[in-house]
Amino acid sequence: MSVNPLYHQTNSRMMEELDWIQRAKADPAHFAPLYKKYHEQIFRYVYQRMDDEEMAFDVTSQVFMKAIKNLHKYEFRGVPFVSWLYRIAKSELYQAFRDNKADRMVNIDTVQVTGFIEEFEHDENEENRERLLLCLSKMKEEDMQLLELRFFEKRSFKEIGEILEITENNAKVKSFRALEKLKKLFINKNE
Amino acid sequence: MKHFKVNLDRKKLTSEYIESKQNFDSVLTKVNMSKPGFWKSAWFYGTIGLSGVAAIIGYNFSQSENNLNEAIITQKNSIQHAVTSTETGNEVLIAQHVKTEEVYVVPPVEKKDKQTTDKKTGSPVKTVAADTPSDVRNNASERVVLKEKVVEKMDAPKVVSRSSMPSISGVYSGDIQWENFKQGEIFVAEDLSVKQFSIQYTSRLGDRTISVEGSKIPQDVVSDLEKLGLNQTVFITNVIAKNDNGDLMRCYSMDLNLKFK
Repeated sequence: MSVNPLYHQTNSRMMEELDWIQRAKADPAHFAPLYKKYHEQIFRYVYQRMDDEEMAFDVTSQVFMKAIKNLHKYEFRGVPFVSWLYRIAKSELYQAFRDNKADRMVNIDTVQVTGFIEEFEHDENEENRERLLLCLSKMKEEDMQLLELRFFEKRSFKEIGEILEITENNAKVKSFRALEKLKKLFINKNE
Repeated sequence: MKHFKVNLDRKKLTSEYIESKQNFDSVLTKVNMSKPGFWKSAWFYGTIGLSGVAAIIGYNFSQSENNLNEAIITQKNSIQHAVTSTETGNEVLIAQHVKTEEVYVVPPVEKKDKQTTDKKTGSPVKTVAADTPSDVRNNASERVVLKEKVVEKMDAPKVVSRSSMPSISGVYSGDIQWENFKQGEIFVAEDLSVKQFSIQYTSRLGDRTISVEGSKIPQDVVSDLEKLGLNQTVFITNVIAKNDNGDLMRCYSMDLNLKFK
């Protein structure tokens, strides 16, 4: 699995980022490089879970607004700054769902569907594809989140752990269990 | 039960398109707009609260100290008066000082109507003495004349020397036994009778300042002091005495340390 280079950074990059953060704490205008660097990542994270594009852009703006307003509370704990942004994004997304501004969506492409069916050792056909989509729609939110982060967005366990504020190992175990649940659901439906 | 709506093969957005939608200025503007007003901030309420508390404390403090300050100021004025007159002998300065004071403190004196005969015409002319305080109360236009006349009279006031300081039972300053204080009256000199004075003391209800007409310590004051029964310093200020010629003079203030047995 490829590694997200924007997430996994060298120490010097992280220090540079920390310098931007310190300056942005004094003057929010200095947040611009961080906005430019992470806007696309955060937007894709939001848009992956939403149907409406404009709404996704709005929520993304909201995420950066919240980040700037709460930057004084941010403390560097040795993890990339973007993991903090992801946590804000997750909270803003659920807020949007609660306010009924947007519907929770799962976006998947055919290649990923095929990958799952092969993983479950079944034939890749139209019927199985539809069955898998039905099973995905019936997954619980926390399991779906792990499947999205790990199998749709191809994130490392370390990154998943930092976004969900759990350990890397825990992220590994939980992702595996979520996949097992999907498999069980898929096989039961198949029988 | 379905929890999610699943989209298959949704059109992917390009990085260029997403970048074109970046608008940091708008985010910054929204942040600035959503900042709460300074009146909602904690420091604002803190400052207002502290100022309010300070104002209340200050007001109460000044109220309780006000009377004491007045007494001290009066004493200073008396001392300044004496020093100025003895050291420089500048009578004009003394007159100005007395003028300011006299407007407020001249005690009521009975009107003296004089009937004189105009030497030229031989007809009786009724004149009213203008240097009485009752005129001050009765007629504002006469008040101006009165002030000027008082000043004229006080151009060369009699300076009370140390030997003729006011005293009670022979004590003009320092410790005085309670028995001597409560029975005594303020004495200045043989040819001077005390017409008015102010007394400041601490009662059970706090500091009190009372203006007294006459030379005796009022029974209310004696009773207040006796109820409290504590050794304390009593300030007797604003002592106005009158001589045989009817001239009014301000005497030294006294501070007496009451001694209860």
